[in-house]
Amino acid sequence: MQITILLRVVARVVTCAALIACGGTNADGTVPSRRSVLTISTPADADALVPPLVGTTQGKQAVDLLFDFLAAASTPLQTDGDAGFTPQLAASWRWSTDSLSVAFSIDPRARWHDGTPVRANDVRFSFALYIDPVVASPHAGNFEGIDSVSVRDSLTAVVWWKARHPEQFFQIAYNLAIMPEHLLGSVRRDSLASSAFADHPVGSGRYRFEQWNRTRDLVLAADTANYRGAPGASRVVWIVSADPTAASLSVLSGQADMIESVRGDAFTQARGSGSVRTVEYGSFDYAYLMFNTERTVAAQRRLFNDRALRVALTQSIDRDAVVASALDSLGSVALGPFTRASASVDTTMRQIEFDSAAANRALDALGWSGRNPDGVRTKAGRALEFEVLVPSSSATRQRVAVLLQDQFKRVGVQMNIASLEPQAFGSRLEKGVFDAALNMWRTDPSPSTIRQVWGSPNGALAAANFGHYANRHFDADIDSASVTFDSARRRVLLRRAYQTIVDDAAAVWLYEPRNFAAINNRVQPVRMRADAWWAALADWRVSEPASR
Amino acid sequence: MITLLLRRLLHAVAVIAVAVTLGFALIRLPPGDALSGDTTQVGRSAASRDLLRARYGMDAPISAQWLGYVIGAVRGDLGTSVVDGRPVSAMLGTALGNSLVLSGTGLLAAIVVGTLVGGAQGWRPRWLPGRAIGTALTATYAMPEFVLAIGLIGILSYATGWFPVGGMHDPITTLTGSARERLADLGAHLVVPSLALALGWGAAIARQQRVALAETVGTDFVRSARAKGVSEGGVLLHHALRPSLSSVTATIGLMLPVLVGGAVVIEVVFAWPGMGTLLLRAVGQRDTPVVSGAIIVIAAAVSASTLLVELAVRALDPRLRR
Repeated sequence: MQITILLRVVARVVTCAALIACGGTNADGTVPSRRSVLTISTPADADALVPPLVGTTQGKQAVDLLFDFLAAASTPLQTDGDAGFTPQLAASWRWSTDSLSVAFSIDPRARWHDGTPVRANDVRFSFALYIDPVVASPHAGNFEGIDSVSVRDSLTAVVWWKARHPEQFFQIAYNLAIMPEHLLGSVRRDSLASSAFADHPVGSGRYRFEQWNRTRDLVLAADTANYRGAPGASRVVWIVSADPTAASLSVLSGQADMIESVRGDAFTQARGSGSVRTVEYGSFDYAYLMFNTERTVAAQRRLFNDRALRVALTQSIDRDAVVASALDSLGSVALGPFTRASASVDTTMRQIEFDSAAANRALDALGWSGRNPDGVRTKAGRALEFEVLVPSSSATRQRVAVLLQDQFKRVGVQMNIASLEPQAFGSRLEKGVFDAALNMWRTDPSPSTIRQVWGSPNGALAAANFGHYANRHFDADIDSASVTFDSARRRVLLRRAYQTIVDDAAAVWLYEPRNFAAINNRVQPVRMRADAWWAALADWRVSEPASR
Repeated sequence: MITLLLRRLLHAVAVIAVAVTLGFALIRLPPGDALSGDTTQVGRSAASRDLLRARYGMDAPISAQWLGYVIGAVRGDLGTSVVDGRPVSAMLGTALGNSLVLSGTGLLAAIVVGTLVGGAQGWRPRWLPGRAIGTALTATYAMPEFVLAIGLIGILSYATGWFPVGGMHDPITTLTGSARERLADLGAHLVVPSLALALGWGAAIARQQRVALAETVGTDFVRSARAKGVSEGGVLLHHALRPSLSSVTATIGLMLPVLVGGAVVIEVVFAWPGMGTLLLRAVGQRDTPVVSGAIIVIAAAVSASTLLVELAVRALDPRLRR
């Protein structure tokens, strides 16, 4: 009797489970519409949706769709002058005769998503928000050199610079997302992150905010009445999936439409899939082995301050073999502190080529001619041995570190690998407590930003110049290039600066990862830029999903 | 009973205090903090980082930070996330609810499967189907959680398309669906991750149930019941099963903290936004208020589950009440 009752209960549970699993239909039996929804599988959630606070790529993707900029960058991106920009929030602009100011005429049709008209005051307010020290925006430094933003009338905002330089327009149009003063003006600047606006942002972009379940998903809906026209996809949904395997499977199975970066086996599967394809969109990332030139290593004060030693170490690395082994066809050998996506790059530049015989001769000449029982070179009894920091979060750099260790060993150099979790890695770099480090940098479309990583302006090191590289010729050429309006002259100066830093062997330039997105065939992307593959996402076409 | 409860309460307070203090110290031992430089792109200036450190009290001596945190926690204020500025209590509340749904479903399924299979094995040791199922369960238990999870995704989601690959719900259904549709959607997302949990836990429960029931079967009171003419079903349900549940209850009790603490591997693989995912991310980002808040919640859950198990065992075994 009891068994019969138990069986009935089990049957009911199984039936309910089946109904739940097969559910998801409307009361009339139809399936909810998923017309032209673009679903993106992303490894991390957006950190913030208030533009000055955004620090992650995911946050940037969302705010770039939610908010407008004064002008939109074209593809390919040009950073000097305004020829590479098209009107966005500003319908037009006019330069002053001395080129120290630009008056932007706000499109009178522009509306915030709550219906309020966009005004010039919003531009002035947005600039003030970005540079306010209380806000502590990580982007405040992008506006250096801009004196102020004033309001001429309700639809005209004027941006004033302290001095002319070729990237004035890029600086303001690329970096300043326009925010609503009528909604943010009353919010305490030190509480922006916890404000109601942070949870429900209001922009003027072609997508408006719909839903954000933190660490789960973010949904933007098409602003169908937008003054710039309705976007292609009715919704854009980011679904957070931290595990790369699961994330790739969601795209391969059709449950998500794209993943911005696919590697390894997932790349191969995507290539072989009939419903998904891979799309390459360039990269502004480069990885390098950085030497700390200020550090005492192997009892040698400022060991890596010796250029000849750095050159010898670079010559002992077969970078082609390292990249082929670690990345196969998903990476290229890096040329320097810039990438092939940079408009100013010259791929014919002179490189320090792999030459182990020359490396051995050079190390002998530098006095590292002795050998200990392990075969490691010695000088006055001290072994040529150093530690390299590698972030544990990067499987690629972990692999590369092992390959470098092996290659160094062949010329008698002992490189020890210290794998650290990212916060500890970052802390050691900041404090300069490292011999060498395998770092990766995401550079900017603007060539001038190289100063922020490798520059030493007026003798003071740039904040991110962790290796303490300093060369006044390099600084002078970059500074000159940043103020030269002659584009040909500018290219010459930049090339000379790049050649200087490469000849100096400031680091062993290792690889540029190639970025491949896996995209469902029903999605037709356009204008995927290396710095922002999502820049033209509002113009992507998304077809009806195929039934499964 | 009142004395027992009071003793357990004091014990719980002590456990929480020690756990929070230890966690407070340990998370600050390694170098770096939530604002340590992002070394892949130009970020905040040093002055900006210093301002934020001062705002969040990260530049104060550790003892002052600890005291401030304890005073706030006693008042019910678990602080603000250093990473995204949200109240920690709200973050924990959401994550806790999500973990309870997943782990609770998995544990319930594990209890049903485990006690049924283990009971069958213990009652009828030579019954072939029972032995086969038990072996299969043990095999899944021996498998690393990650491998099991990916395998289930591959079969039930990728290859067949029956269930979603991950996540807790479909965002569009959440926005546009009816309550029934949202419940069905949640159920669909729950099947595979809870199955991954249930298989592992179910094996442990089945094993314990099998051993406990096998011991009970050979006891004098069971033989007496049979001698009195009680049916086999009656002997099992009224005489043998209940005494065997004490040890099984203890085993289940060990799993209760996971309801609150989250099954980290399963939550990460299935992108389930529970306590495990939250804590893992907070530790990685050095989001110390979130870590400390999570420790309080988990320590309280461990203490509560210990008490629950003790009460349950006492209820099952009258001898322990004396």
